[in-house]
Amino acid sequence: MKKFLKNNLFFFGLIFVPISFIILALSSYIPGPKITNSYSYNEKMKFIVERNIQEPQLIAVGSSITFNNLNSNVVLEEFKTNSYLNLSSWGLRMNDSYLLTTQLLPTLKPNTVIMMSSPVDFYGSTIKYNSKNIKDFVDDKNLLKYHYKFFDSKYFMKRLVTNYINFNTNDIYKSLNYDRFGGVMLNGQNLVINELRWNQQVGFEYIWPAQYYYLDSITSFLSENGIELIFIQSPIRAGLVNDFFIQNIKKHKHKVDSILFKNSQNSMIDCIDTIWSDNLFVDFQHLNETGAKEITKYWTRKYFKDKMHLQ
Amino acid sequence: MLFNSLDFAIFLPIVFLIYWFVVNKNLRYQNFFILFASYVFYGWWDWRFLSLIIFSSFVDYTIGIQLSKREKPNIRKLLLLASIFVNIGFLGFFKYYNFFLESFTDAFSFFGQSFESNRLNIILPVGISFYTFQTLSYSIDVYKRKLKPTRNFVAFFAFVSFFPQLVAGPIERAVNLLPQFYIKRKFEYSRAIDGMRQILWGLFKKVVIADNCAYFVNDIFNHHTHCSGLALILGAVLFAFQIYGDFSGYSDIAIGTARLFGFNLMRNFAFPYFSRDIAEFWRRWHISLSTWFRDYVYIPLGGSKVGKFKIVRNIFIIFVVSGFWHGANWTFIAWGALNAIYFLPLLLLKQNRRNLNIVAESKTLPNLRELLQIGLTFTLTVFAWIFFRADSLPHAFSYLNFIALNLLEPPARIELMKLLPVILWIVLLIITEWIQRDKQHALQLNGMNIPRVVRWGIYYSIIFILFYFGGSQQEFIYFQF
Repeated sequence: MKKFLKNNLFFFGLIFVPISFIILALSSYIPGPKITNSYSYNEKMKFIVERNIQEPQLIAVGSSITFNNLNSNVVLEEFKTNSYLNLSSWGLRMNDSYLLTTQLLPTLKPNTVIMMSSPVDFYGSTIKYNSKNIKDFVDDKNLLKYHYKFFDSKYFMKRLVTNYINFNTNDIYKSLNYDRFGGVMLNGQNLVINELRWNQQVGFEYIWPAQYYYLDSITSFLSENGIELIFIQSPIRAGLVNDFFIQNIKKHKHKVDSILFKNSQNSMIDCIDTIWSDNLFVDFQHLNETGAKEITKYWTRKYFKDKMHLQ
Repeated sequence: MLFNSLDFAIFLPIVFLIYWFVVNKNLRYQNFFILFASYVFYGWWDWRFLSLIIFSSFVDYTIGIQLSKREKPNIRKLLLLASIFVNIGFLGFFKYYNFFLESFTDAFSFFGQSFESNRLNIILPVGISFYTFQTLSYSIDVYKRKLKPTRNFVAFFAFVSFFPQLVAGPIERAVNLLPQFYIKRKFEYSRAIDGMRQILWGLFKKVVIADNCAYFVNDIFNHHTHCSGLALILGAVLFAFQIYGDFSGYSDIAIGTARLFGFNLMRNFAFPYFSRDIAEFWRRWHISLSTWFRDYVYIPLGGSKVGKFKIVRNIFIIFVVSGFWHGANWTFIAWGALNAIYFLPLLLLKQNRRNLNIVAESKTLPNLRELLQIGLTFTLTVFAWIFFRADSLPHAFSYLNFIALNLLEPPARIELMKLLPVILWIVLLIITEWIQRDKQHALQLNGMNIPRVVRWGIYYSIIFILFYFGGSQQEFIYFQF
């Protein structure tokens, strides 16, 4: 027995000791529990649990558009608050935002929800998860328990290493270099992250009609709970704006606006009414840091102007 | 609790250490602890269903004692029927209730009659097909006086619920496993080491082969109308490796785990894809189930020592029942019937016991004849697996239809870069198992005089492959049976 234990301890020690050293050395990059199949979403959930912001006044919900195109500092400056949390993540579609909104907002109790969107948010969903797990995780705030519950050694080790890169860079899509509020700036003037995505067109044909129902449900849920929704239509880079885009975006905006109107929310803030030059973008629709600052200033001023006008 | 889960990776060493360091002084303690650990293992999935195992164990334990006390044949028969009624009753209710209900409803509507049926929302208790057969074998053996009934309550309950083989076999016979609970287990270094190796190889088959194949198999079978004929053939071949890796992997982990605790379980797979005919395949595939049906169904029906008509009937009965044992679906019945059709000519021509030795014994490679025989047997098996994997009979026929229709089209839907490593692991599996085909399992290295550095190098390589190339965690297919 002694020989068996000694050999096993030595054998497994040779594996676990180096792995433990790697984990210790990269302890600040330990990935979020694998609650969904999107690492970006998992990291955002972990961020929410770790930051533990109590009842933020302002919450941003949405996809990579809300994640990258919304500048946290400008939002704080313009809204004159420090109580802000960006819940958005790469790849979230309207159905994901709906689940996130209905699961988390009753606990977080914000006054206002910001959603910056593009037609891509209305494509078919890609992220797989059980929304109850997300709610339980955020409520429990017990990282260890959820690491155990959703443990996947391969995912854990792979993400541990890639997180080291993703948390320390702002010039790749995978950047998870959050500011204090959960937003990410893709920096670098004239930085084109991906040539294919630079020339990509908005695929209006990929839009799922059901996603408009999800937006309707989000809007109606927020109205019922007395939460204000600020819905911003994010632009695409100037070089890609053509007649086809203008015609289709018009239809899209009309649908969105009628949903907002039906549920007595603010009208959509349209950023497509002005030209956004190519040097503010990193691809067809994601803005760089300068672009994010400019567009956030643009819509916040429009929003407050409209608000004053109404008063 | 899944063998390929973090839960089990924590559970196993804790149980192992307590077993050999805390309760090792006394046989009763050892058995009681095994029983406790087994109930924790099973209850981890759903503790409510523990009551079923406990009840089933209690019934057969009591019937066993009563059988030893009663001499009148009618009363003994009645006791045996009670055991069969309880065990098959549980199985029938949990597994087949909805199937029979739907089949009757379909039959009625076929003849123009309407029939109101209330489908029940029944959860199938994990492993019910395995442990009911195990307890049933005990009652039958005691009835036939092949086995003395036990009065050791703890030993019997531990035998029924022994955690390594509780949920997916091997289906142990009481004559083999129960007596092992009567003797205090002593730790044997070589047995434990061999058990560890068998667990490692089982994990390789499950995590690397089965889980990776599952990705392609699910995609191809779920979208078969969009696939070319070649892709569909590939899907069926990959399923053959998926189910082999999944089930034989589970059996290897179960047998290896039992060895760590000083138990010897029966062999369940003996490199079945190297079989030269279907009869040989069935001597090498799911051995514990096929021998169970042979001993408790086929032989009592007269086996092959009856007239030709009855032989045909008996063969069909055991293959169809064996198919039906796998699940409440006509696809499994079709799979069983197809295997009966494969098997019958061999039996009727008395060729079924032609290949009893190991293929290409004491040779490195098979000769052309053996290779063709292996290839033909594998092809027949793969064809039958299509029925096993399909969701329904129309799905299976449609799958076959699309193979024929789109045979010459280039293989669409296959991500070649993802498929290549899977093919590489399958080739590694085939080569390793071919080299080791005369052993109990592919990683049995006892007596091979391989230096420790090389051995450990092999183990580390497999562990690396497991973690780096393993597929995403999937449940064991046989859990649903």
